[in-house]
Amino acid sequence: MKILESRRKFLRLTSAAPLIWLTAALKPVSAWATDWPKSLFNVASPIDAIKQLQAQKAESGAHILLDVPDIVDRTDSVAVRVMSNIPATEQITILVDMALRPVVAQFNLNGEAEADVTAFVKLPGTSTIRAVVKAAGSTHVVTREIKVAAEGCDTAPPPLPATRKPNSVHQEKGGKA
Amino acid sequence: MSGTITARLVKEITEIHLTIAHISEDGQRQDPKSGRFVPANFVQQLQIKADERLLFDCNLGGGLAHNPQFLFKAKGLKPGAKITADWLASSQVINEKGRKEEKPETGHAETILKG
Repeated sequence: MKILESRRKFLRLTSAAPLIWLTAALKPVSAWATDWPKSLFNVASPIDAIKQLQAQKAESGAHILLDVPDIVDRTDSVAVRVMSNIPATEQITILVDMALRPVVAQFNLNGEAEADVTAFVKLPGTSTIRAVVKAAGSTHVVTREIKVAAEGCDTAPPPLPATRKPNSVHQEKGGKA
Repeated sequence: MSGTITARLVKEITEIHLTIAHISEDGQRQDPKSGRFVPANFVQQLQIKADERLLFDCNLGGGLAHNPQFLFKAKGLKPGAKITADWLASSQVINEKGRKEEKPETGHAETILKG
């Protein structure tokens, strides 16, 4: 009986072991401390993004500098600088309201990091820019607007009306005379 | 993927300037010829470290500019500190079976802070 029992134990162990190895092998090995917050970056409206960031009842951003140009003509790369003078700033999030995916960047500060970051964003057109700053226990929001001069350089000129023919102008003139 | 990182010391403040060479497609743009959406491909995560200590842990979206640039600042770093940037980009690739597949790509850049 003793031999039988030990044999069963052995069989049970060997049958379970590959399963454990398999689960260990299938787990993705990631050097990244946290996962990319997919739900936040896939949000379609800035209001939902503010809800997800729990910043509906945010305090005034008097101690935050959101440095953006007032008017731009190139929309493919626009500098957005956020500087916070609030002590113990933990997180800075940049939102472009008119973009199809408003959340553009989120910076988590650690250690010797200063609360002063600059990122270059794409603009879909004249849009409001928001900076959501989280400091120890409080949330602050600042908004600024960037205007795009004369539709920018990215947009194509409006198409010509379809009914107009190349020689129609001359014919009309000739007809009248 | 490649990128360039420079760091300089201005009084006590270290200015870290990073440029990542990346197309940064948000997946919302249509190809003018075929009318199909260009698949998303952008940098999702970025970590800035000084001597293996984490300074900035960033989550990024597709709204960043083509070849995204960043300017970070840190206080109290000493000359000779090794400043590194590691990033992870995810692109959607259509595989042999015609299905969309996430293909991760990583990049690395480093520099040494001069006094």
